Amino acid sequence: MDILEFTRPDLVFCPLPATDAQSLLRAFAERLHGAGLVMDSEDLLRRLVDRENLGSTGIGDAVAVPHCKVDGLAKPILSLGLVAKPGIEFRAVDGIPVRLFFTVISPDQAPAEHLKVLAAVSHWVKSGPVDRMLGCRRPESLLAVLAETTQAQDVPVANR
Amino acid sequence: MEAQRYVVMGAGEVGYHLARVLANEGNNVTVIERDPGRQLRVSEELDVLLVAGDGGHYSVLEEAGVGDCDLFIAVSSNDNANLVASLLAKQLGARRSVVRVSSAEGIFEQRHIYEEHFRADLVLSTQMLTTSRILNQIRGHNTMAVETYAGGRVQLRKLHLEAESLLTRRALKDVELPRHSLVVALFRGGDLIIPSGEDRPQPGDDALILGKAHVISQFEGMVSDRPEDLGKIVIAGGGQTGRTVARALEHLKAKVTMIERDRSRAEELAARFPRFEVLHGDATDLALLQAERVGDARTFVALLGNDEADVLACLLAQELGVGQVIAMVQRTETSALWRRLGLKSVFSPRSLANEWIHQYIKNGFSANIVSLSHGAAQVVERRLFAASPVAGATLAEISPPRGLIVGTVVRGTKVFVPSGGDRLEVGDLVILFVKEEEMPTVQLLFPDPSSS
Repeated sequence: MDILEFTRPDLVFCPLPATDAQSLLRAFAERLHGAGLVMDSEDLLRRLVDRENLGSTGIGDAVAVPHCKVDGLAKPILSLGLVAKPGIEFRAVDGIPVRLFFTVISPDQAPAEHLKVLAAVSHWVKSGPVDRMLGCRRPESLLAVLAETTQAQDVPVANR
Repeated sequence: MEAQRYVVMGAGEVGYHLARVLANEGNNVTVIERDPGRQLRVSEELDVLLVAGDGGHYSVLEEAGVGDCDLFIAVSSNDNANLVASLLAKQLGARRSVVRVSSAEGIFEQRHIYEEHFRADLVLSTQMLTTSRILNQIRGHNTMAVETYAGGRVQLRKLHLEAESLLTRRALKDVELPRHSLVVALFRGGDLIIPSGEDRPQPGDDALILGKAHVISQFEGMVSDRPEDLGKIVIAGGGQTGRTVARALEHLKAKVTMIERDRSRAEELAARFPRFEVLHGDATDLALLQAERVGDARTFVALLGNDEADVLACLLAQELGVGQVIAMVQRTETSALWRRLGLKSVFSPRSLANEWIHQYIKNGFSANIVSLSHGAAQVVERRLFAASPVAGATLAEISPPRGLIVGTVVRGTKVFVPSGGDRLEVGDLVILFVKEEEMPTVQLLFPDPSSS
């Protein structure tokens, strides 16, 4: 799955102004609302916060993958944001403040797609050049790094 | 790990030793004990704070400061008091709690329900630990090889794939496996593989099979020409532990003899286990052991409920030529002495509980995490919540990546090994087999506040 196909230039933010987890999630909610993707930014914010409350999406190496499902979307959306140093305390698994955010929102009715995008993003983070992305200063360069390195990383189906 | 605050309720065999170990590691430990004799021992010998009183009382828990402890450990001898104290401790703000119950039946078999209602992060049963330990020993496996989940209803077993077998002829997705079973891992040389459907086991691999107990035995017959023969096993003592061990042996290839002193209990056993030979008599009676040719047995297990009798029976059995004798004793301090007498497999249920809780702490408060092959993979339990991404999705929709297997679903009192069409629901407890590199995927797809 090529995660590039779920994002677009106006959904890549660099630098994204935010100082804590709440303002970070709010920034994404408002921008996704501003891009006309969701009707209700407060609802989106609440869903993202609910998910974080269940356990941080900070998967280590300064990366987090906030996500939730929402009503009224046509397909999953990936929005990228890079926050300036030193990053945001996000209760990440390795305790490192998070700077790079891959926010995924998906249609309520498409659980499978949602899960596939999440798995694909987590795989990309594992093998992709996170360090280069952390060094980016403009949204175009963030997107360029992503474009260079996403290939069809097919996720094989497990044991059944 | 930096110093933590622990509150231990009950300074019996488990609590006392645990408190000592934790205090020696430099942690801040408080012990709640109501027995004056034990209080004295704690205050004289341990570097801990002692709170005299009943852990079932709110005021006592409050005095012990459970509200800001990292872990509340309820290991008194009273199962119900332990459960209630866990609930109160959580109400007061304890971050986590572990509850020890003695019996394997009843509470432990439904421990997930108890964990939920009494807000315990982990309920463990000394009896269950004892039974698994005995079984592992009988089967000659290390502790890893047979693990039980969901109160013993689901087992994980390691099978050696010797030659060509049904399992090695084609890719896993094309093998007709017994219902409710899965191949969750393959050990090949030094490598550990969490297989996908495309993987094909090879002769020489060790396969880790997950499934319900009776299905696994069926599996064993399928993959190997000769199912493991455990030979003759003598169980001395038909009490609760003896019965639990016998129950586990029912599905295995073994010739089992049980010896029970009490006539009516012996009759009950004979009715309950028609395949087994049940003798009415005293297992410490040399003449009886000789007459019944106990010396032919490969394994002798003493579960008489009396330390001296257990040790004596084992010494006699050993004298008669039994290769492996296993004794369970209640008093931890004497087990070293018994070992000096030549009994290698002497252990106490309490020291097992002790080891277990200590391991739980060492694992960073992860319940039921077994490291496979030195941490290359893990077994992880996760609860599903409304905001869990996987809640409401079928397994096929989740399509777990290679390196991640959803092995078991515990839903209320129901336990099953899911297949593609099964839908995961809010409230389910899932047991996952995860290769290290897929832990981030688990973090995203299966968030669980109690594990972070």
